[in-house]
Amino acid sequence: MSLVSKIYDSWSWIRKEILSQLSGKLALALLIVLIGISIYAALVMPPDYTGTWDVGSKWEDNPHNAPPEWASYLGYTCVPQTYYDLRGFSPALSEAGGRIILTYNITYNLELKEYPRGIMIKVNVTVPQGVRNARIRVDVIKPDGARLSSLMSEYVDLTNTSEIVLKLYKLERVDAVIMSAYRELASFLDLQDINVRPMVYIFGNLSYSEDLKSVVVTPLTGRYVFVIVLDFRVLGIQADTLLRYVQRSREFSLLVKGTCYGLMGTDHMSRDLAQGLFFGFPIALAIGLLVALASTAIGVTAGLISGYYGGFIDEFIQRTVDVMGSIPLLPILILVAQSIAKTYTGTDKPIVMLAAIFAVLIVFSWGGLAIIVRSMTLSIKSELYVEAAKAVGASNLRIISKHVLPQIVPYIAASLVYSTPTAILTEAGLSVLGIRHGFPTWGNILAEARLHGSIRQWWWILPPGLLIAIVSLTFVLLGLALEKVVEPKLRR
Amino acid sequence: MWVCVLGVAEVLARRAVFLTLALFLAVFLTGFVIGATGYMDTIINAIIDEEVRAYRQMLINLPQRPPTDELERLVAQYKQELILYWGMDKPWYARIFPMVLNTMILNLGKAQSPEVTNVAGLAPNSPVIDVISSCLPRTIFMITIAEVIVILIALAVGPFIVYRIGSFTDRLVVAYAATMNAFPLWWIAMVMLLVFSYDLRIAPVRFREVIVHINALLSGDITALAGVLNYVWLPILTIVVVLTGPWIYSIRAMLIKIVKEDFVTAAIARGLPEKQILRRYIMRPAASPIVTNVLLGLAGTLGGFIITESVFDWPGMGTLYYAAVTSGDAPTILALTYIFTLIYVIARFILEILYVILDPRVRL
Repeated sequence: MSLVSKIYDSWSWIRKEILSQLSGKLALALLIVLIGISIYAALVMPPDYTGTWDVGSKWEDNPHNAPPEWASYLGYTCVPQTYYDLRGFSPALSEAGGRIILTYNITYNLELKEYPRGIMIKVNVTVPQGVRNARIRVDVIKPDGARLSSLMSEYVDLTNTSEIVLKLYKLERVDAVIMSAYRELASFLDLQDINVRPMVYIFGNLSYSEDLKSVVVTPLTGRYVFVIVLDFRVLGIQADTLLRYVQRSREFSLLVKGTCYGLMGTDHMSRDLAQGLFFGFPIALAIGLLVALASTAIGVTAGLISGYYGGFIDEFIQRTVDVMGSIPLLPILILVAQSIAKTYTGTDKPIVMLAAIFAVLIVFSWGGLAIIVRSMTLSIKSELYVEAAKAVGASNLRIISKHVLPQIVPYIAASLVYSTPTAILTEAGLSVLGIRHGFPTWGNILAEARLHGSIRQWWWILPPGLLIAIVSLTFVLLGLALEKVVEPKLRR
Repeated sequence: MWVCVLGVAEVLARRAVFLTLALFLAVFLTGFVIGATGYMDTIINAIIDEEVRAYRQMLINLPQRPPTDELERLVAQYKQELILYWGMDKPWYARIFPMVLNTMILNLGKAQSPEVTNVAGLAPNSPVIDVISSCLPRTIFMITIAEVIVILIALAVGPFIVYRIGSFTDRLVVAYAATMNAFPLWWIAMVMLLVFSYDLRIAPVRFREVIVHINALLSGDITALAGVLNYVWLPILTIVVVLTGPWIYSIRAMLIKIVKEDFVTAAIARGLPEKQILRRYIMRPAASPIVTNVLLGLAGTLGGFIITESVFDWPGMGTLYYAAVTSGDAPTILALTYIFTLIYVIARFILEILYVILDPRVRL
């Protein structure tokens, strides 16, 4: 029988043993799901994903700190995200004294008693030669009849270019706009509060408090009209021509941000947490399995050499394991990671840091297995059939691969299973402490939740932790099932 | 008889040598990491730059401001003094290894960074030994006490379920242990904070304030105990909830191996009472692995749980170590690594002696 088929036999015995138990079945099912998701995520992951995760502009369309959409079942008021592609709308046209004015009236219905999280208008258009400049202005007419004039406006000089690329979302004059819209309340308005929470005043009903000494704001439902005015100063251009250009723009849109977002909500940078969690799967599994494979390989090799050859090399390996076992892992790991984080400046820093974390984890985790493999090897070495094999002139390599290795397969499997979750948990723990390697892992999402979020944002804190727990639970259950393989006494 | 005593003594002596070697290596390795990566130099250069900047500002603000070239000369001279003071004219190993050797003889020096002394609640530049001795009791009050509770529960429940392997209670305990093994302690800590401190508002939010109460308690004011309890109950509850499962499971695993032994089967067959079997035939042989786990577990708590303490912002040994690492405070880092390893090594050595007492086979 070849080595491969022997190990295969041993493996199929383990598999039968695992599948005979509930925890084993559960673990294998979970493992298949996890690996499936990881492979899928790794395949669809954009190549520059690590780089773009931290780029704020990629996420600007999302509301920040928004709970997931299904939070509406938990009592959250979820105003939906509303997007208007203005290229399809027909504006009112007017022409006068070298100016062409396009006016869009967009109706937005706010049905729920909650304030939308933001307004964003994007323009990306090429205008024909002869347009001197352009001004874009946005007014909002509220259900109570108040008109917020020039809530946002922007001026573009087009003497040297014919491109208009604009994003309107800043509300720099919002205090003045609100003041002039509600003149009768002006002396009671809190300007600072308007600047801190502009959306509340834009989408709110402003009225006197009962004692007539302050202003109370409550959400104002109903029909809002966004008046978007494009005002071009032109030389020899027809209004129709210009309109065609605007309608063929690369982007011209209005977005009223909702209060909930997607499957998993968003964080302080408006990032879609569902995406971060999804792409965290392959990274978590890769960290766990790489460390487990490497430390198991080292452990088996060291244990075999130590047990089979004995003598000085045995003494040396055993003492090394002894010494390594006495050195506390986590403090050293934190120290190494932090030292590199503070001093290394290359662009490949995430890789270097992760490699260093791997190295420390591997170096400190092969010892236990080496001791077990050594004692197994020692007892197998003194068996009669090994003596017999030696007598007929079998080489050391042959004895190790034919007689020793197949018998320690269960221990190798157990070691893989035990060290995988340890590596995942340790990496996540490092991230939570605030040591950033730069990869968007689950631990990293949790770390940012601690740093930038309120601990009340449950959708930001619970899912990453639960995922970490599910992954390690898979391996814990697998370990539980394997325990009876490794420890025959536990079998009944 | 004498031969065997000599044998035991030789084994113990060899262990002592290797444990001391491990201790030395741990501190040496730590020093190497801080030095070779350039971390210590980065921190010290930042300190020097800051002090030079402050000195220059001070000179500029003097009523009789010195002329520019004189000012530059004074600043350069001050900088040179600082470089000599911090030993930055020498390579890193010439600075770090004397520090390592000093640490080994418990000459721990002074804490460099305010972050470290802040965790301890002491004045800047306090001696490291004071910093550690003020943080250690806080870790004991939270983590060691929690661990003791966990161990007591596990020692009570473990023998109870070992007779009922496969029963519903047993399955429940195993399921609980497996689940809690999978959850990171520090994440459960975050969830507990979320629920008890922020949602229900029955636990404090800023745990660092416990310093005042623990200091009062340590100075003999028994009434401060209520204040300490007010802070400590949530962290202890968290640790007990998470660690009890795995602890019961490991005690159960140790006992099961012995329950399956022939001599236990024989004792049961002879119809001995359950209590006697448990005490004489099961717990006695299980004593050395259980004592190993308990002692190493308790020794491990003295170093603090770095991540969990950091989540609670508990001013103990773990938070202290993390503050020392993030602020690059070399003397404190070295001292803490030394203490962590020393505690572990001492525990291991005590175990070696206990094995001789507990297990007669070792003496043969």
